[in-house]
Formats: sequence, C-alpha cells, structure tokens
Amino acid sequence: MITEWFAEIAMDFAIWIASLFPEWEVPVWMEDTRGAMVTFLESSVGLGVWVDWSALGICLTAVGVAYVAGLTIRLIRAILAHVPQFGGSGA
Amino acid sequence: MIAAAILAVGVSVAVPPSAALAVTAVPPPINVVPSVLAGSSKAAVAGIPPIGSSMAYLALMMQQFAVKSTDAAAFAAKQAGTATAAQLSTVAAATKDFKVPAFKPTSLIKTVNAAGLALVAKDLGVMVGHASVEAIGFDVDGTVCAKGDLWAFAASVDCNEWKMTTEAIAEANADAVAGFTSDLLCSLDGLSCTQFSHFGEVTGSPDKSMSSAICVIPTGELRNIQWKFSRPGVEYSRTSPPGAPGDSSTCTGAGVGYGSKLSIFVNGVETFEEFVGFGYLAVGGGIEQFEPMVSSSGNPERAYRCEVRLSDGSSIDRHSETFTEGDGSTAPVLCPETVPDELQVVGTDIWLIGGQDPLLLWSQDTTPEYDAAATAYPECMGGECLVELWKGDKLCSNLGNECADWFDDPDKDLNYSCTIGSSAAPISECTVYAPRYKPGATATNAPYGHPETGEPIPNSAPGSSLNTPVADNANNECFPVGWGALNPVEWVMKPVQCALKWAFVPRTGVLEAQATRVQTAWSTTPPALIAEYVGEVADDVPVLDGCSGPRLNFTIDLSAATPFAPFSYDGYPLSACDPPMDWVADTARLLGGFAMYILAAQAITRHLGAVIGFGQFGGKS
Repeated sequence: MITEWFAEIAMDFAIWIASLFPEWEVPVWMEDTRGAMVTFLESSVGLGVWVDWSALGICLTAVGVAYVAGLTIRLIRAILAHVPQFGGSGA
Repeated sequence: MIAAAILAVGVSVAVPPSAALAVTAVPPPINVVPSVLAGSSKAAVAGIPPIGSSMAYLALMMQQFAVKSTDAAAFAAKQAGTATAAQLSTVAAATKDFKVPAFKPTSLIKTVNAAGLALVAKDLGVMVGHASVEAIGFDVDGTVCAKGDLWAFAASVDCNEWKMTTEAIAEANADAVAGFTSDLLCSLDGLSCTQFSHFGEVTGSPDKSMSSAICVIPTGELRNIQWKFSRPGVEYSRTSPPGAPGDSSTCTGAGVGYGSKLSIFVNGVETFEEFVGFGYLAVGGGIEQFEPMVSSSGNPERAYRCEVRLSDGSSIDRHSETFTEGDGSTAPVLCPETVPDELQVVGTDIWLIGGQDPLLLWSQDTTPEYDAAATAYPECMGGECLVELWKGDKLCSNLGNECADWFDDPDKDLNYSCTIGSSAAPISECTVYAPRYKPGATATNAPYGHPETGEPIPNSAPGSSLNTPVADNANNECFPVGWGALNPVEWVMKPVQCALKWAFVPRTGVLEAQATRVQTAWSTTPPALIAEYVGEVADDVPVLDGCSGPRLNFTIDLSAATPFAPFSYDGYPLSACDPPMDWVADTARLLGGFAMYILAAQAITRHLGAVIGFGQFGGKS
C-alpha cells in the first residue's frame, strides 16, 4: 500500500504534466509530408546493404545510455555533497 | 455502434470522474472473450457442475486460481515469459478445459508424390483473443508465436523451435523437382517464331534488336515459364506468375549485352538455349524487371500463406518469412491479425508457396464452439468483450456508491441491466459484480462475487489472484499453523512478513490501472500524437532486405533551353547485387559498422571518464 501510494503520487504527477499540454492535433503540413517521409525512410532502409543501421542504432543507444548514466552519477554526487558525512557541508 | 459501445465502456473504466477513486474503489470490468462460451462442454470444470454462463466460468476460474498460490505463481511466470517447464505444465493442466479454439490442433501436412508427411511437427491451433485471455490467466498454448492477437498461430512454446520433421527434410524439395515434364517438341530456329506444340509459341526478333521481345504464348497447360540470362558472373531470371504464365508479363526479355546466354525453361525444364553473340537481345521492360537469380537447383525460397476465409466469401491473407527446405528450416506461420468488424471467420487455409505449385498444407473450418461465440457475441470477436452493469443509461462504474446494494435490490431486474459487449444479457450474468460497487470491496481484496450466489470471492481483485503476495492472507498463512504454531517466533515473523508484504509490495492490478491512467492522460498530448504519427510512418515503410539499394527515379528536361534531349533515369544506382559491388558493399558495411563501434566506445569512455574525473580517456577531468 505504501509503495502503491508513492506510485500513485508519481502517476498523478505524470498526469498533471500531461494536463499542461494544450489541445493539439497533428498539423496538416505534417500529414502532407507523410509520403515524402516514407520515401526518405524507404531509401534509407534500402541503404541497408551499404550501411549497418542496426550497428548505428546500438551505438547511438549505448552513447545515450552512457550520457544518462553520467548525468545520474553527477546528480548523485551533487546530492551527496550536501550530506556532512559524505564530505559535504550539509547546507 | 457496437464499437462505440465497447469504446464507451472501456473509456468509462479507464477515465472515470475520479480516476484515483476508481483505481481503489471500483475494479475494472471483466473482459469475457468468446473463448469462454455459454454452455460449452469445453468449459466444464472438474468437480464443479456447468452453469451455462460465460461469466460463471470466468468467475469460477478466478476463484479456482485465487486459492492456488502455486497456480498463480505459474501464471505470473508464464505471463512474464520466465516460466519453467513445470510451471508451464501447471498452467496447461489448470486451464486445459477452459479454452475453446477456433480450430483443432493438427500438423502441417505436405503431400508429395501422393504421400502425406508432416512438414512441421508442432501441432497448430488457432486461438481467439488470446491476449485478453492471457491477461485473466487462460492458457495461451499455441499462441506464443503470434505476432498479433486475433489470428495468432501456435507452436507450443518457442517459435525458434520451428523446424522441419526428419521425414520432411529427407523429402525436401520433392515437390520442386517432381512432376516436371520434358515435352520439348521443337526448338527455336534462330530467334524466329517457333511452335511449342504443347506449351505455346515462342517468338523472337530475327534481328535481335532492342525494340523486340521474346514471348511465350501458351496453348496448353503451363505451370511456369522462366527466362534466364547469364554471362560470366551475372545471372538474371524471371519466372512467370503462377497460374497466369501466358499473360502479357511473360512477353518480356532483357538486354544483357554481348556474350550472354539465354535459356528458357518451360515447367522447370530448359527448353531453349541460345548464345547471343551479336547485338542485344530483345528488351521488354528493362533489366530491372528481372531479379537476381539465386538458384535454379530446385531449392526455391518458400513461404507460408495463411488465408482466412470470411463470412462474405472474401478472404484475407498474410505471408510468413521466406525459408528454403534445403536448409532444413521453416518459418512460423503468420496469419492476419485482425478481421473486419462486420465479418466472421469461417475457415483458414495454409498454403506453401514458392515451389512449383502452391500446396495446401492445412485447411479447417471454424469449430462449432467458435461459431456459437461468433453468433452470440459478434462484437466480442476482436478480443475484448466487457461485462457491465447499468443503472438506467449510466454505468454503475461511474455512479460511485449508487450501485453499492444493487444485488440486494428486489427489483434489480427492473432497475438495473447487464450487458456483455454491446449485447443485452440476463441480469444474472452480472451476479459476479454483487460486491463490486460496495465501499471497500477492493480493500478487502474481494470485489467480485460467486456467479451463482454473489458471495465475495477472496483474492479476486485484478492482479491479486495471480500476482499479489497478499493472497496468502486468504489462506490464513499470516499466522503459524501446524507445528509452526508451537514456535513463538513464528507468531511474530508471520504477521510481520504479511504486514510488510501488504505495505510495500504493490499489486500488479493496481499498478496496471495506474499505468493505464497515465497512458490515457498522455495519449492526446503532442508528444504522444507525434510518436503515434512517427510510428504510423514507420509502419508504412516496407521491409527491404534485398541488395538493390534505394531506387532513384528522376527526369531532367532542359530541352526548352538547351539542345539536349530530356534525360530520364529509373534504376538502382547503389545496387550491390553483382560483383564487384556486392563485395564492395559488404566491405563498406563491415568497416562502417566497425568505425561506428570504435567512435561510440571512444565517446562513452571519454564521457564517463570525465564524469569521474579521469582524464586519460580524453575527457575533461
């Protein structure tokens, strides 16, 4: 129940964030570019014989994860720096 | 109308006036899929007399599972994909009487030389709405290989285990070489018109000019015609479409230049061969109409075609991935994921295509049980069929406590109504909801009632019956029993353990409900709509795994301003199907991938090094 309570708070926060967005629909110009985007993506997929897209995806994902991990580490260090026992001033 | 009704029900549950209240006060409606049929003998439960109600069986099943924690654990493991063989066996044994397949499990039988052999050893069965069934704990054996929900096909547990039987491997490609005839009755005289007395007429251009074509005009039974052009290192072929070998599309050739050899195969037999030493051979649609020749050895690429026959006489189909029998491999059958809302399925055929002739491997009409479900609840055939209680024209789920005592109302037949999907149902079908609207029903973990008596069913809250640890409470396991009762430590440990579980281990059903709330709230926001748009665009992109590369098609017309004639190009400039470009492409792909990994590793090490103040990787300390 306690975990559920925290989860519910988190979900309510996420719902509140969602409520901040205005009413919106996919604009017409965006819909109009669908054919061009499909053609572009089709060409990109066709280049698969030359370019290893899966390797590119893995690399980009790995780099992204590394940056998120780095940010998390920095964040934790910044928080811990405020705890006196960890060397921070406690301020 | 039906869809709207179902949608209204679904939305009313997902986004009630007070979402948080709904999560904790009113459990979601039960989804009755037609796998559980009224009066079906398949739904009989050992030891429990048939009640003749789909709701009854559903609720009984919930009750049955709620008191068997081992079953619950097995189902949870199966849903998570981590079930052991023993757990899978437990699930199968517990639910074997509940499923009503649309088709009877059988093997794929391939008939070769009048003898039938099992191409795939796995028994196949089609289930309906398996995702919803799985969500409430039904056995979903046979749907594991599914890419979709509705017409998913089954191969026991692991689709990777799909393979040909030993007998089938021994007879691989027998159909690709059997039945060929060599009725070559005449040959080309140069490239002038030649008569194939049985199969057709081959015409060609005496001058072998670019403007002419080679045609085969069938006059007899033809299975296919194949043109093959070859010169050292290059082979192109084109095969006439099955069943229509004589249409205009066969009347094409290809320019292959000097030193090429033309072969024509009729029904798999080479009937003509000509070395083209001068000029060009006839051109019909250009060389791009021809596909690179993989093999003419009688080991063709094959695929399964799953054809679902519909009630209006039409059919829909879907192809599997390709495979070759020579490798002893096969591919999972893929069937259409959905059928039109207004139509019913009347049968399914599975064809093996890619050989000499399409072979029918599997053909069944739907079972009587399925037909009964389709007739009784046609709106439920999409896999979702919610049972709802109404007060007037309002859902009880939205009325707070107004329906709390509905079951005790002597005039409930008049004041309330029950629906399954969009169909009216007897009020008794909603007996399972007897305690559902009472305050605290969820808190007591018994929001659903026995379908006959309405008595609250312990641990019947969504998730709790299958996944939550609080189920132990119902078995009085929060206090020591047996010899444990003599151990004073147990009198402390057991209650504390239960209390901690109750306090800190979330219930799956609650989390899923909360996740649904968030998903619903975000579904209309710009990020979600953009993501949906991107997903739709991605779905429209065809899957290409050939060697042709992207197609380039353009026309440059400067004739109005310059003396140059218009120039058009329609081709594949980056094609890597032929040497040496195939080798170049493979090398470029390999080196490019290697470079990407190196750069990624460098970026990661530099960044993480900078984070921890280690500058040796090149990051700023």
